[in-house]
Amino acid sequence: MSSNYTYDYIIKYIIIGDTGVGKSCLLLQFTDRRFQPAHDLTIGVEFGARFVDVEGKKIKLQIWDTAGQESFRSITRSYYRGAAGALLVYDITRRETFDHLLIWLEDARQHSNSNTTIMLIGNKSDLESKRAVSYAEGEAFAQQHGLFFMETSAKTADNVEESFVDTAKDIYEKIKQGVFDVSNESNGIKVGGHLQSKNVLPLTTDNGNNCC
Amino acid sequence: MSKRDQRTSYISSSSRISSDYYRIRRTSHSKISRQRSTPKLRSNDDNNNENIKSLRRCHSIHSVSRLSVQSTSPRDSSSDIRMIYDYYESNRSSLRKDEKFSSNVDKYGFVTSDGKKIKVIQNEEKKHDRKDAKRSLKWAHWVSNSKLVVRSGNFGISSYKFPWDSKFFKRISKGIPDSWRSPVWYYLATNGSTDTECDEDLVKTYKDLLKLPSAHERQIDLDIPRTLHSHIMFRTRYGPGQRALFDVLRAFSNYDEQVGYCQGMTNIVTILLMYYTEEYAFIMLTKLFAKCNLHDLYIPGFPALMESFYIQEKLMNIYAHKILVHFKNLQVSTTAYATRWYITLFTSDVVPHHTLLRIWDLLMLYGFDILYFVAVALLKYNEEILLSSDFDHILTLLSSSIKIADDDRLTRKIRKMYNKKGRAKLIVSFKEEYRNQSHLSI
Repeated sequence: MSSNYTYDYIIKYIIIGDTGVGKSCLLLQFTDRRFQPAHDLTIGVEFGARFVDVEGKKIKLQIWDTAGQESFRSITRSYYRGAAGALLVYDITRRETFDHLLIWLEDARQHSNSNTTIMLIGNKSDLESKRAVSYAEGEAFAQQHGLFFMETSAKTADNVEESFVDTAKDIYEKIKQGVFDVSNESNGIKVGGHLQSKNVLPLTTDNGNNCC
Repeated sequence: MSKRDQRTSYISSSSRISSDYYRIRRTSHSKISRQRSTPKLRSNDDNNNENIKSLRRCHSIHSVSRLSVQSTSPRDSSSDIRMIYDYYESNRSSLRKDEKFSSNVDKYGFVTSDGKKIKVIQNEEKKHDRKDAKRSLKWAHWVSNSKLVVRSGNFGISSYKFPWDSKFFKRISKGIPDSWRSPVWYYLATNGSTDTECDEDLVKTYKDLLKLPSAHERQIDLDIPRTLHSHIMFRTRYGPGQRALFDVLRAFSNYDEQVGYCQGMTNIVTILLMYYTEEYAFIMLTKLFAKCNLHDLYIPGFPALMESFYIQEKLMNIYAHKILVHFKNLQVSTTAYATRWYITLFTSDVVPHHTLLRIWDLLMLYGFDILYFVAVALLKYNEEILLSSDFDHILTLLSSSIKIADDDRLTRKIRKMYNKKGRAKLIVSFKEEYRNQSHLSI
């Protein structure tokens, strides 16, 4: 967490989805590599951060974990806009969390940047015996709506790393292609100090140091 | 029949429901002969000499007058949830597994170890405990010498008439001795009312409300195992503590239908259940809603929460200007960390439990407005570290439990700001400003 830690990019994520699908557990597994079965309820938003490596670039992920209860959307919505990546999570053992995906997706599309990479995540894949949504259904939904898809288990850590990193890879690809205007921090991407000097893109210099 | 219709008919014919209810209760008793080993916890027929003893806080839950009845509504997933709770209530033996934790809890009931190692009690803690015991006795002497006992209430908590003066306020700000919290909080939350009749009505209402199905049961049930798992009362799934939590919340969801249930209320009720019987936890929740206007905190759009952010920032501008500027520069928004603070009235592990109790002592005394000052004081308390931290570090710090080494120091900070001349007027003007501004933005 040192402010001197250099990065090439900061990418902002948001984790959304119904209440109790395991959003906070996914984040904890990703940032701390541990599972807490009785994770406290998320009220409002919570924050987590971790470095990942994509094609040799040091990328810092700043992740907003959000409360799932509908009434909190008035607060969490304001966090969509600044996110370059969104993890949309459902619980494979609870059908209704899958049924609500369209509402979440509409919400995300309406309030986030059009270039935001969305990863659909079917969590709790360790609970195979309680499965209520098949892999094929999840995959089909993702395909239909142009999302990435993965089934994960925050408990066993299966695919957790991959889901965060693959999203980062796609976003980095978009950065390289110039899809994102990285000079505008509100798109959820910030360029590190030493890249700024090399970069030909015009960058705002109000915060040129490596401090985030 | 729609939910609202049910509610209306419930209000208009509560007496009919009442008689129905007793009929249902009788049948349910004859069908399921519940062998409930009721722990003897709080005597209902206190006499004055036993008041202090009987008011001592207990960490288990009493089901003395638990009167849950299966709803007669059509079967839905909600009634399934209630059935699970009912099942475990009549089959307590299947819950016993977790009781081994009971030997390793701190004085508040928080589990301190995993059953292998027992936490060593620090000298500081011992000192604090001795002080608390001493002050508790002092209060007992004061109460008995000043003849503050009015009568023995049903639950032993409506029995005091404290003087509403600065000396009393000062005693509270020093921290209410823990064994006195239950009656004093009640006294403060009701603004000194000792209207037992009103309470009896509320208990009756509570029992009637429990018979109604609630649209929020599923959500409440999802949140219960995720709330205060570190406390002995609430860690056993479907155990008596979780059951009480479930009942108080689902009853309340029908009591204030516009609020229903909002995440964060669970935390508040856990604290109340540590000090009150289930029925009185419900009463206290209604009193807190009235005193602090929590209705506006929880209704869609969270108007009181948004207002709190505005006022907090205005106060930071006066008392914690450097922090405000630092946060603005780093784009740390107040919503990111203070939503949890206000929505749970600081109960969701924002500060250590002993600090939270001190904050609640002030909350019960002064009402919701004190919380803006608590927020500013908490930031101010950590000013040095906040000013030297980056975005990530600030949010990590503020979204975890903030360490408070000296509760007295924090309380003094809060009171100093709160008791400043012109404070009331200032807050009113901020509120007005906020309202005018939000009207413009609409």
